[in-house]
Formats: sequence, structure tokens, C-alpha cells
Amino acid sequence: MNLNQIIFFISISLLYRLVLKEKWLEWFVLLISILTIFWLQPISTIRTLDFWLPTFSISLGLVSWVLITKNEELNSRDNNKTIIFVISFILIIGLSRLVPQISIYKYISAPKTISTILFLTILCFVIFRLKSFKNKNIFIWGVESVLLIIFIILKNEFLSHKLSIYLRYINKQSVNLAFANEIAWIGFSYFAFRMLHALIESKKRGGVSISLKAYLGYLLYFPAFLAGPIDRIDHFQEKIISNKKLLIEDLFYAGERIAIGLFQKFILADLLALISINETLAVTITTKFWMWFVVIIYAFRIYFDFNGYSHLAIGISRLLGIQLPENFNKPLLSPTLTIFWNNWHITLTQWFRAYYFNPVTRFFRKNYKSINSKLLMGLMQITTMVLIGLWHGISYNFIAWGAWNGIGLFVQNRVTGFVKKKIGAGKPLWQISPVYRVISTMITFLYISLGWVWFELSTLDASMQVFFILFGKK
Amino acid sequence: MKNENSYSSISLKRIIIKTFIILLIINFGWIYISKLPIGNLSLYNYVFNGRSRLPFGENTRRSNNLSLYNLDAMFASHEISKKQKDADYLHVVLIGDSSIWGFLQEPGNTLAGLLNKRFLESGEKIILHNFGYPSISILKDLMVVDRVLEYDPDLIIWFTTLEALPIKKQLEIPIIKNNPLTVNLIIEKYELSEINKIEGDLFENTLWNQRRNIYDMLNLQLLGILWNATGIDQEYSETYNSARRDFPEPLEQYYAINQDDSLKEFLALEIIKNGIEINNEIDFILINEPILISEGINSSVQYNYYYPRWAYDQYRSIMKEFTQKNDIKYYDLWNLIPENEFTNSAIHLSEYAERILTDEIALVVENYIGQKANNDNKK
Repeated sequence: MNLNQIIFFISISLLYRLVLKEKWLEWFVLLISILTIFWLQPISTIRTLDFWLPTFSISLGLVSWVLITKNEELNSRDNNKTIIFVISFILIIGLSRLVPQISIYKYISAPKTISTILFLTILCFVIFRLKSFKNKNIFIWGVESVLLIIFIILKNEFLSHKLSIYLRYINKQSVNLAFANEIAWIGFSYFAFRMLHALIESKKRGGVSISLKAYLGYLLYFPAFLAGPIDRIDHFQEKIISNKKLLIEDLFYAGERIAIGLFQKFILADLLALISINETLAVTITTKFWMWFVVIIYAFRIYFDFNGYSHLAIGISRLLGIQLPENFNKPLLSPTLTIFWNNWHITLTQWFRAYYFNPVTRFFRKNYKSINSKLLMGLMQITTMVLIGLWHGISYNFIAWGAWNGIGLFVQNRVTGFVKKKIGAGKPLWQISPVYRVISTMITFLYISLGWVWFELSTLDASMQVFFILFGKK
Repeated sequence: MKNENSYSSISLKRIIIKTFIILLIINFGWIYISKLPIGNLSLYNYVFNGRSRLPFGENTRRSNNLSLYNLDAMFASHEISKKQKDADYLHVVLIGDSSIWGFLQEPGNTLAGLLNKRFLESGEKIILHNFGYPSISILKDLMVVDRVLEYDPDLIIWFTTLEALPIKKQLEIPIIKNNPLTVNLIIEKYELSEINKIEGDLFENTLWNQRRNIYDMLNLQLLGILWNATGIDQEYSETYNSARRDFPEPLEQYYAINQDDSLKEFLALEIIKNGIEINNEIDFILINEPILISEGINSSVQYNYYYPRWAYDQYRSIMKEFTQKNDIKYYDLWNLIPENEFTNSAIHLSEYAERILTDEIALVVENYIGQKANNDNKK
């Protein structure tokens, strides 16, 4: 999101809170969120893709809502109104191709009207057909699989490139010009993880009670669409319903969070981006001192970037009266890697803990009792971190980043345990003395900073070269 | 975060009005702050080494450099701002366009860099300062000349070419457009009758409108780190599009000027004349910089991308006559460099060409020193 877009979101949220009645919040969030996903979707070099990707996001949202919602709540008047509204909205965007004079035409290359109508007809048929099924678990598995397949394709350069070639082929565009980043499905990572959360929770609870407006608002929620946090569905639903009149406290709180967010994202992060490790500096800096410098700066830069966005999302939400969960809690001051990962991108790590680490660990403990618990813990920490790495992109550098952090967590846990045992203290060293705490925090920070080298550079070779310079082996 | 309940007694209306007023004061207050030389506040030459040429960069990430319009900041980042002038040395400033700045050449391989290397090796106490800047405009050159006088140079070697001279293009250059106050002062000081003053905009210097400039100044300071860390200040592409040599549809006109028109009428020669005359306490040498003389298709009609032959030939005669009439020391080096020694433009030189030009300019400087010594002896 750029500054103008953020100013728009702040203004529109404030305007809503000052002018509209509270009961319109769900409609407001839905409308702005749907507008946003079309607006933020970059103009694609593959014809009509900038129409289809947001449309697929909404369609997946509609289908998944039918699957997770209890049957008796599916046919309420309010939900039917929402379906009509959403379908009409997509149709209007699709019909914009008939009026090239309007500005929307410049940003979204809608397909032929017949294709839009055909797609929406099929979507309506699927929605109404799915409503009649009592046990929808098989379809939930289907949607989960679709999400994972799309995720894998989008995050893998080779597969993205192949898909790009295919889409160009069916569009009768030059396949030679295809490139991997051409299919930029904006916000998909967060969108997919929210939806997976909703689907898994629905299976656990035998369906959830949520209106379609609130559900689509949750999936596509405009302040958090691009960079999280990944809220829990029940938490979001509770907050969107309990919306109240704009209070002065909300305004102050939101203003403070937005100001911090703007400062961190658009001043600190953007300025530090210039002097933090990147592909160019990795090959042009040849001295140990400056390489350490740009690597350490990167740790600050990425923190201010992500945390700045989180402040903005939380601040804008507060203008609407919605309280989003915190996503960062001073992670750079963490004395251990475990604490760091409890404080960094909190909602994402919680997601992986809830849906991978805890259930899989439980499974192994239950079914393979003979397995060494320390070994199991190490394996789970490494695989969890590798999966978090893969969430950012399916490539060797993200696997290396995940493994680096997973191994770090494992080693740190073992060392902490060993030292505690050795000195006979009931608590880890960093809790005993401020000096140990400072040392421990610095070691953690340096370890995390070094890990970002794998994260930022696209090849393992480039990262290794940086490590050689950092440790004077070149 | 503050306790959220502590705000409850404050009226929303008052907060909004006060916030709005404060924002207005800060925004318009910047108009006055911007008149202060804040660009002079620089980490260069204190924390980081000064740059060997003025900052310029089209791709910040790849070049570790950026183009900005704050002249104070640009000059403060240059190594000339480092310390007091060393009176034992002859300080020579090179003024010109991207060819003098050294497009595609590392700082040590630019004309100034090579000359400094040569004079250091020969033990001659001469220091060259690179004040080329990648835009072709004689008014921009004068703006740099006027500014560089603050550093009390002994000699200014001013490289120019026909493309720098058309009157109508002078105000179209970004660095000119974005420095209306300075440009208008230059127009006044040098009594430039052919150039119109730039009309100022009252709101131009508000904080909101100046946010890009402020951001650029901050970026320039940060880029000092990368300048120190890498010594790189431009993107050195391994491949580039070579300067055009073939002209299937050759130019007939030059800036809508026909062969029958008097080219002299369209050239801002007044800028050179007044610039040199008014600064008569400094020695100037004017040089017609080398250009690519194509041997490709229609090269009998057009020398290169910029020039139809008739226009450039006329220009050379005009310059000869103009410099003789105004007693300006002038060298015409237009055909010094072989055709294949130009890189991506008809004025950008290869490393070998830079060395050829270095030999020539070293002679010019030595000749100047010799003549100066003769004149001093006669006195």
C-alpha cells in the first residue's frame, strides 16, 4: 500500500465512523474490502487476470462460507441479500469493459461479458447446490486442497512461470514473454490462511455461525489484507458486531498507532531499505565491517516495515471500532529465540503452532511413545520454521531461513537446559542477571539478523558469499 | 501506549480543529525554513568521504546514488567541501555534462580522476575537481560555475557542445526547473536577456510539496554509507545500447531550425559570454567537447543522434568567431575521439577515449600554467 491509499483508508474509515450508523459497519467493511482487492490488484500483463484474481478471491470466500456455515443459517434474508450484492458488484466491474470512458476501465481489464456472466452463473449454481449437502467435510477438504495447490504454485517460481505460460497461451498472448512474477495474486497469503483457519475451525466445531457479510469482511478485511495480522474468526466476528459510536479514546489511540505506523513504514523502513543487505550490496560490498553493518540494518528495516504495517492496520481498524490482535511485541529486545518467535509476526506463528506444531507433536507423542522427546521437539521446531519459510516462498533460500531459525531454536533450548542444569539454577541465565540478559539479547539479535541473509537473498550461493565475507573467509 | 481512558474529557471538535491548525502551521512554516541552507547540513566530509562527483542516479538501489535538486546538499556532499583550499595546489574545476561527470566510468576513470592520477604521479601540484552533471544545458553549467566560485578555484575548464546551447531548452532541464529561486538570481546577476525568469509558485515550498526533496536529502546522507562501503556511485551495466550510428531518416532540422536560418540567433551564447566576463577574476578555458562522428547510414547528412552536419558545422564556425571576438581561450576537440570509442551516447566516452581526452587536457592545463608563468614573469 502506498501513502495515498493509506490516507484514503484513514479518511474513509473516519468518515464512516462520523457519518454512518453503527449497524452499517459490516456492509461498510464488505464494500470497502471488495473495492480494495480490485483496487490493490496490480494491472496484469496477462489479459483479464487483474479481474479474475480478485473475483476468484471473492468466489472462494462465498463457497467457503457455504461450507463452514450451519445449514439452518444459510438461507437468511440478510445472507441472500449479501450474495446478491457481491455477485452484482462483480458483474458491474465485469461490465465496465462496455464503458471504456470510466476510469475503472484503465485499472481492470474485464473479460468478455459472456465470460463474466457464465462464471457468475456457475458460481451461483455451485453455491446453491452446496447448500443442499448436509455433510460438507469432503468439500472443505477440497477447498483446503485447492488453496494449498494455488499457494504452492504462486510461491514457486518454476510453477508460477509454467502457469503464466499456460495463461498466456489460452489468452493468445506471447508465451515467450511469460515470467514467474506475472501472476501477482495480491493478499493471497493472508487471505488463504484466514480461510484455512475458518475451514479447520468449522470442521472442529461442526460449523460456525457467521453472517456472509462478516465472513467476507473477515477474509478480505482491507486494513489487514496485505500484511496481516491474521485474526481469529470468532474474535473478528465479536469485534465487528460490538462496534460502538466513535469515542475520543478510539481517535487518540488510532491516531497514535497510525502515526507510529506511518513513521516506521514510510520513513524508517524506507530509508533503511537503502542501506540494508540486498542482491546488489551482497556482491558490491567486500569488507567485513560494512557487510555486518548492512546485515544488521536489515533486521531493523524488516522490523519497521512489518511492524509499521501492523500499526497502520490496528490504527485504521480502531477508527472503525474494531480491535485487531497485536502482531509484534518488541521482538528485537527478545533475550532468546523462543521469545523472539513469540513476539514476531505473532498471529502467523500462532497459526502454525495451532494447526501444525501442536497437533503434529500430539500425534507423534500419542502414536510413537518411544520417540525421544528432545529429538521430536527439535524436529518439530525445525519443520515448523521451514513451513513458515515456505509460506514466504517455495525456494531454497526460504527453506534455509526456516532451517536456520529452527536449528537455532533447538540449539538454544538445549543449551539453556544444559546451563540451567550445570549451574543448578531454577531459571535460565538471562533471568538471573541484567548483564546476562543484555548478552543473551545481543546474541539472539545477531542470530536473527544473520538469518535474514537467507531470507533476503534469492540464492544460497549469494547468501554463502555474504557469510564468507562476514566471517572473513574471503 | 497511553491509558486510553485519560482522553475521555477532551472534545472531539476541538481536537480536530487544533490538529488541523497545527498541520497548517507546520506545512506553511516550512516555506520559511526552506529558505535556510539546510542542505549544507551534511555528513559527507565529516562522517563519510566526500563524493568525487555530484550526486546523480536514476536507479538508487543499483547505483547507490540518486538525483536530487537541492544544490546545497549536492555541493556539501562533494569532496571539494572537505576542507580549506590548499594554496600550494592549482585547483582546476571541470564543468560540463554527463561526459565530464563520467557516465559508465568509475570515479577514478573519469577525466578528472585520470588527470588527478597523472598529476599525482608526475608530482605536479594540480588538483582537478569533477563538476560535470548529467544534463546538457549551458544555464545549468553557469549555475554550477556560480556556485563553485565559493570554493575559489584557480581555473575553470568549461566543456560544452551545441546541444547545451539552444535558448528554448534552457528552462526545460529538471535541475533548472526545480531551482527557480537560484535560477532567477543567476538570470539577474548575469543579466541574461534571452532567458525568462521562472515564475514561482507560492505553495511550492510547503512541507507537503517539499516532502520529496526532504526525503531525497535524507537518502543522500544514507547513501554516504554505501559510497564509503562500495566506492560505487552509478550503475555500471555490463551491456548497454550503443550510441546510434545509422540514420535511415536523417534529421533535416535542428530544434525546428532550418539550414537557411541563422543558427546563432537560437543559441544562448550570452550565458557563456556574461558568465566569463562577470567572473573575470577566475581564468576560464572553453572546450568544444568531442562528439561521435558516425560512419554509418546517412552519416554524410548527420554526424550523430543529436546533430545534422550543417548545424554542427555552423556551430563550430560560430564558436570560433564568438570566442575570438570575446577573447575567450577556446579549444575545439570535436573530432578527437575515434568513432568506436563512444559508449551509449554520442558524447559518452569509453575508458580508452577518456585517456585520449586526458592526454589532451593535460596539455591544455600545462600550457595554461606555462602561459600564466610567462605572464607573471612579464609583470
